[in-house]
Amino acid sequence: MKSSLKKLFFVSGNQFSISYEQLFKDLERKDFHHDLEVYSSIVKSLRELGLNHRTIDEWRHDSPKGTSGAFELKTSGTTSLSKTINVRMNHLMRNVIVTSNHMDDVWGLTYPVDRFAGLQVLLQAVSNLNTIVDLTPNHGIATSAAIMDQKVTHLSGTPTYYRLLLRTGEVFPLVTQVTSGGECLDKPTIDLLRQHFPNSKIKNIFGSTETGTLFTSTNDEFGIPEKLKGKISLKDGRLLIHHSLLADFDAELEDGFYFTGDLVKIVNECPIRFTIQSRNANFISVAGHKVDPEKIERVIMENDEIAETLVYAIPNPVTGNLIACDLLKKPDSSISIDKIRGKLKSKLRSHEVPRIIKCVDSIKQTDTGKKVRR
Amino acid sequence: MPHHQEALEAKILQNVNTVLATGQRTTLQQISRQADLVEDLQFDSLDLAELSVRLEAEFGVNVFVGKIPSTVNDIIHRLESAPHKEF
Repeated sequence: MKSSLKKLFFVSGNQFSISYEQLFKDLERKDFHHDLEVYSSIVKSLRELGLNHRTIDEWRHDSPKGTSGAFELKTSGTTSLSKTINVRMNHLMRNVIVTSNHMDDVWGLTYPVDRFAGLQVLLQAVSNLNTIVDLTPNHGIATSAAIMDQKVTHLSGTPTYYRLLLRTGEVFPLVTQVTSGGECLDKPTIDLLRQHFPNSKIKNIFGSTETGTLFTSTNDEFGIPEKLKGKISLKDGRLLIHHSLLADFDAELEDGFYFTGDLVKIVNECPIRFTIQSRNANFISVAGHKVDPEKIERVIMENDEIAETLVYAIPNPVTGNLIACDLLKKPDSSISIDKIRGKLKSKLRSHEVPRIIKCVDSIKQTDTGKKVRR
Repeated sequence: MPHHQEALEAKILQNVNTVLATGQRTTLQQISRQADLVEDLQFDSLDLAELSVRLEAEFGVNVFVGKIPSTVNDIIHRLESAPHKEF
């Protein structure tokens, strides 16, 4: 297979590129090691899926049959509640398009490649032998420059990623497709995307590791595609999907349907149109990460000097939500907020650590003694 | 520089320092209006989110809505042009 001159570019830090020829050689090497973390992750992910020069070539000339690989993914839930999901190749390839129209696409990689969204971008790009430009992490000006210099045409990222990127005021006329996913895409962010990507289609994707991509839209409203009719239920403002659409994991079902945890609002009955009100009702979404407030409360309560705590979200336009907490200290406690925060940092991931911590005199409870959640 | 701008700058510096202290980083004695929040202050998305929340609590308006401000100057301009707000 000729892989043309296209390369995978890595622009975090020093500019660095690797050809597809080298990638295919590295996929075969048993002793593969590379100091560049993002490249190592790409090779590791493709190898785990059983991909090599031959299987990728088959895709390019045929439908992706015979690709029996699977990938063990963890959902982005917290440690105690995240699920390990065995995602099959056909599930991952559901939305991959291999045509000559896509041969000149240049993909900006904004997700880690061991997550569902990152794998989707990787498979779409590698299947078409596209240039991949690493845009992780998001450095603002340097990332903007990489998008311009490497002539990126396709981007896929979370609304938080885009809001951070576009703060520099740059306009990207060469980008022809912007895909948003992982978080609710609100109207102000859609306007921002339209303003800064004037020649781009805006694609809002709704999906998860458990379900893969389910719905796509050009705004904040979704419809149910013909092929999914009968397999989607919007019951009592909740989104439920038929078990036949799920990846392999131990799902709790209600009459054959799985509650994704997402809350919806129906905006039109016929044809049905709905918006996503919140993703994963029991969690707080922080920059696309699902955060379990009760887990954080449990960690805080490990401290003997704390009588009670309430963890909650403060909405903000940058990350969607920010974790905050109220602390009710025991009467004889002299522990400082800095000390508490220091302890939490050692036990929680950065987006889980409360950024706003307040000491309060009481924490409101319901009649039955439950904490009043905000 | 008009007096009210100096006062605004001082409040912004105070909130920037609170965010820096959250991350156990060295706080600043003064801040340049041209300081870029990401490039110069090394703020990540969580730092920016915290700053937006703290400034909203301080001024009653969230200047991070729409486009995230790049510099301290951007924040000052947006605060000054916020409707019905006097600082």
